[in-house]
Amino acid sequence: MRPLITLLGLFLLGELVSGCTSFKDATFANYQAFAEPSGEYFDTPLASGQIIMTGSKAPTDILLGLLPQEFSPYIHLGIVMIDDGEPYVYDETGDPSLNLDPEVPPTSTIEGMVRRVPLERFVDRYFYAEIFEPAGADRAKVAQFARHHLAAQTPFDRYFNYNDDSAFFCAEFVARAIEHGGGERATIAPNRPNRSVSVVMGWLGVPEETIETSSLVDQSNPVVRMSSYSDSEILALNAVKQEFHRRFTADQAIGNLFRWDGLRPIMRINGQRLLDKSLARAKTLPPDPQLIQAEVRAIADRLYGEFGD
Amino acid sequence: MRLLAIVSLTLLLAACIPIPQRVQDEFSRYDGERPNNFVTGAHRGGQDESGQDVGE
Repeated sequence: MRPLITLLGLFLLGELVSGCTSFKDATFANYQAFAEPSGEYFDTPLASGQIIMTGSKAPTDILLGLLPQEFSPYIHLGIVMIDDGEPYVYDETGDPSLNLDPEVPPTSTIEGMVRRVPLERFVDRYFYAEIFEPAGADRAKVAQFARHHLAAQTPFDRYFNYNDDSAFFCAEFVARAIEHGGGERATIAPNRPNRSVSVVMGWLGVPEETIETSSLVDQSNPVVRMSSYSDSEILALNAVKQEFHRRFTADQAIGNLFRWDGLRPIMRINGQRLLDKSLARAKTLPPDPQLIQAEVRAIADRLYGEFGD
Repeated sequence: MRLLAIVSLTLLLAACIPIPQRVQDEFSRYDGERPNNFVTGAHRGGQDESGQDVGE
């Protein structure tokens, strides 16, 4: 997973707080279980120590998705925990403090720590969420790691330093938990070279490398999927982000797709059109990944011109 | 009323993350001189991404 994922927190100063209700009473339009009940939470496969990954259509998240060499549809991740009979997500996030000096990057003012959020509230913030078993790790030990760092109030790693165990960013928290549980050390890879991105990352003072999500879980085998959207819409969102990633080559500027509104990146209308048209088209299509990817690419070709592999 | 003013001022200040010019430049509008793989139909090769004709 990308270490920059939690930069999400940089730009989202106002976090909307939704109501807290029991997950078993929640009604997701799209809830699918792909495994047997775990025995931990009613008749669901949910269990402490599983990994939750989310997909989002927020501009900041789409921008961050352009950075890694390997495309990943996921933007944020945490650890599922069943506490006192209710499901929660333990994750690591931070928010920047007020700062009026443009040469002081928001990274240097970020404060945060491991937090505990009710699962339903966590999922509601995103387009969709998928839960996986931790790759090669003992779930109980992953959960033990999560509980320890919640109690220890382990701070957010504002500089995304994977070699510093005194603080974590979101993907690092999960990667370290899996490692503690007996899984392999996460794969770290350099970001794609891009001058425009390097200018921004240099200002933020964060390394240009990512934790690859594919090294943390088997992404082809989710245990549970939850969303307010259909599978076709989820596939379309992922295909759009993949198409942006494909076209955002080394010579592209961030400003080709985004503008800055004083608080956060906003997607320009040309990018928004691909997103809107693709999601609308997906409502008429079956949840076939190849079909939807081909449709999204065809829409992109009509909008922006053909673009070779 | 005073509380409302304080809240408004706080929201106003929080509504802006200052960024240096070099970073702002990376978010600047397409200027027609650099490659852009996201220019829509009628404006492909042009300068304005806000046109209504998207070549569909």
